[in-house]
Amino acid sequence: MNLTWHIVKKDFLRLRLPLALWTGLLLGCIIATEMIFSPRSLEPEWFSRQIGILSVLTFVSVVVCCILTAALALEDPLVGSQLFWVTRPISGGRLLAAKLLGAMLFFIIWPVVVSVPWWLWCGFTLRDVGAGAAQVMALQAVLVLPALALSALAGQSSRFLLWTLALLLALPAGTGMVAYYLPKDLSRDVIASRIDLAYAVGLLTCGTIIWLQYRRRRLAHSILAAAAGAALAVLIGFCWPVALAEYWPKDKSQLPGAENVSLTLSGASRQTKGDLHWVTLMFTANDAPADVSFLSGTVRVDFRWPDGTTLQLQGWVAPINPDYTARFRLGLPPAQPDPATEAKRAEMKEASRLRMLERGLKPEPPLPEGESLITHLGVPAELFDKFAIAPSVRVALRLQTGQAELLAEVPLKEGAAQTGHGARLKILKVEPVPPASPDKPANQVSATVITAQPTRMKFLQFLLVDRAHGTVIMEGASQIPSFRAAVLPVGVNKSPLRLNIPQVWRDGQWVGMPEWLEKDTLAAVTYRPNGGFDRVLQADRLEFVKK
Amino acid sequence: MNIIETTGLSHRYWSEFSLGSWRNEAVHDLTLAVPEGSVFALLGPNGAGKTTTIKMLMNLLRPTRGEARVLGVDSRRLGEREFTQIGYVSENQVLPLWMTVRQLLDYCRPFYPSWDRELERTLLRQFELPEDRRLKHLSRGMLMKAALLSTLAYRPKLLVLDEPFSGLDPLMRHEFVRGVLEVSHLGDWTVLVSSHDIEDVERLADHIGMVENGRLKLSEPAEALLGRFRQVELTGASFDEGLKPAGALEWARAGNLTKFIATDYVGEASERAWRERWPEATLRVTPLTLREIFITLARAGRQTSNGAAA
Repeated sequence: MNLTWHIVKKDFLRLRLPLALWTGLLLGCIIATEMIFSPRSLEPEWFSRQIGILSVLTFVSVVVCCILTAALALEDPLVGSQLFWVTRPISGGRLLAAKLLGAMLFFIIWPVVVSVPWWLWCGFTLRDVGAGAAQVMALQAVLVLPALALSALAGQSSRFLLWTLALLLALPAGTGMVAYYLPKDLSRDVIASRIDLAYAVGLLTCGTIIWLQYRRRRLAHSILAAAAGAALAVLIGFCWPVALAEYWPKDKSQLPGAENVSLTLSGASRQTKGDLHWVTLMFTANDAPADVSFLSGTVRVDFRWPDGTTLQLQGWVAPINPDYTARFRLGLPPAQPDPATEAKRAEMKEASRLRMLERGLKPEPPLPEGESLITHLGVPAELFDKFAIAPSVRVALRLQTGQAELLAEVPLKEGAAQTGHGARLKILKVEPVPPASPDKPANQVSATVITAQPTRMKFLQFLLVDRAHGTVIMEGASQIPSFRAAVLPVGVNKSPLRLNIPQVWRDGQWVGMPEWLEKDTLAAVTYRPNGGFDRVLQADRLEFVKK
Repeated sequence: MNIIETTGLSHRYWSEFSLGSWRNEAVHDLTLAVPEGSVFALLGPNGAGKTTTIKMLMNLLRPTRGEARVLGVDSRRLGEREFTQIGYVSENQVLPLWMTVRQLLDYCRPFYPSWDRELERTLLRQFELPEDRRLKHLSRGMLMKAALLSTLAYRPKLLVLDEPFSGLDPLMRHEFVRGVLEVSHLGDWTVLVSSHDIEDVERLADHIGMVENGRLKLSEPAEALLGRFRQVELTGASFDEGLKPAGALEWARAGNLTKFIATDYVGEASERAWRERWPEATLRVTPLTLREIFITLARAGRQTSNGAAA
């Protein structure tokens, strides 16, 4: 091990200056991202330019990483008959161990070490740091492995650059050729499996080449292995028939306490629009633990009609209003409704119901108490009319659950910022939105919010919180930002929010809630998956309302 | 005991320019033995196959046929243990030129349990190498000296020098040879040195091997070689080539002087036989230097191959 380490130290001595340059590039990416939190201008052009700078820095750092990996390998080349190390007491196995250790330290671990302080500065939890490190290391390994294999084959830098260029041209050309000849009706899962497998074969081939070159130094064998790998990848691209997702182990864990959740089938409807036909099923969940939210799930429904016709449909199920556990996480007191406002709302609702009855329309029934979930299932056109007759139904659900986590909560003021548990939030600007007409009162303000969060955090919800009255208003999500940048694993979003000023009924008119801007806060919440549960529901006869 | 033994060693390489003969044989059926403790000079003109042979011995090239054993191990299986006892210096070797002399020595040292710091210091002094200068800034002679130092300092059992004198000016050659001679008494090693010029190694070698067109022409102790080659001059008459003794080379007549080189001289017995063959001639027998033997054999080899080609 000492001698292996000795070779690594020699390589570091050789590459220390280029490594410092590369570290500078990594820091440059971080600084360019940090600048987004204190932008010189809120104009979209400034953000576009910043994205441009980040893209260039990221691209250059990737290229430099590949070149440095090659330089590490070519420090002790494997091709040729004038090699220094071969006539020294250095075995191929030891050299391979040294190069892998060096590549691991310089190009896989070092970027994580450089970035961790920044991740912590962005509010990453230890779990986020661990997951981010794994993400960066996996990505770096995917970069390093082919560069190492190619340089092991090339033996000299000019040939490495030439072959890299050739590979960069051949990859899209090969992928394009395979894509061109793919049958149009091939399922997405099979295509995804082919892509995944082709990549896996590519990486495996790289590993094989590295092993062969370092252990045997038989260039012809290694080139044969490379050709075999490429041929196998193309063959998989053309012929692989199976969707691997079907064989992937599925999460079957049962959330503790899930047996107490009551889940009922609360409504069914059928709808058609043009050539599209679908049925909608509504479910209502009650008695879920206070801190558990329903995130999404899968559903498989078997329909059976009295004439023996059967139909099986599969789809996704999602909650209609996913924020109800945020109250729990925010520690809000029970909502204290304003009596005058509630009375006016009830009056307006009743007036609306009467108007619909006058027009002969059936008013929407109120949603049942509890959490509502919905699924839309596409129906073959020839079977759509069957739903006029109530079928028996068997529904198998797998629901994913999560816990709301409060990431940050700041006063609704310009410059307000907080680094929370897993994210960082800053309000860049707050300004009133001019009313639609001069005679109407302003009822909206716009806020420009910048957030930094782990890229794997798929969902970030903004909430306008009124702690005085215990109310929460959902105000948009970071899924639709106006600007998005990522220096893995940190994703930075600029989200424009339109905040509705809470309205109250006073003296016969709607007015903005007094002092709301001073008292309300903006909270960022995410939902971290914590498990799920399975449930089977059955109905002997389910009526589908036509809409 | 032999440190190096080859049996039927051959190597073919892909020819880049010749489509007709798609592979050329650089070394053909070479059987050679280098005795322990000897200084073995592998001689031959440029392109004779010396470097290819040495590269096969050092596992830098794989034999296409035959076998080589170095320190008792198949050359294809030479490992870390064997290379701690082998020193290899070649004019072609790609050294880590970015290192300083000091860094090269610091890098090499931990790999050799037998590294002798005292010898390293002695050689540094003798070779007058600037420790802090990068290898890429050294002259060719200095570079070879640095390479030699990094191989001598661990007192290898076998020292292989492949054309170490190429590209060196006469002064540098002299210094290099002196360097090798000076250190030769410091260790008990076997040396295999290849060269296309006998002059470089005649002061060093005690065993001679000659390679030509990939084939081994001779391999024997220098003393035996010097002993069996003689320049023979016959004066007093003109003698017909038909009376040339077997094994004689470079038969030449000029007036009443006839000359040839005997390759199987065995002392008094040979001289007696010649006197009986040419009783009217005055006989003058003079020994040859290794250089003269080398040139004679090279010339004879060229004539043979020209004849075969014709």
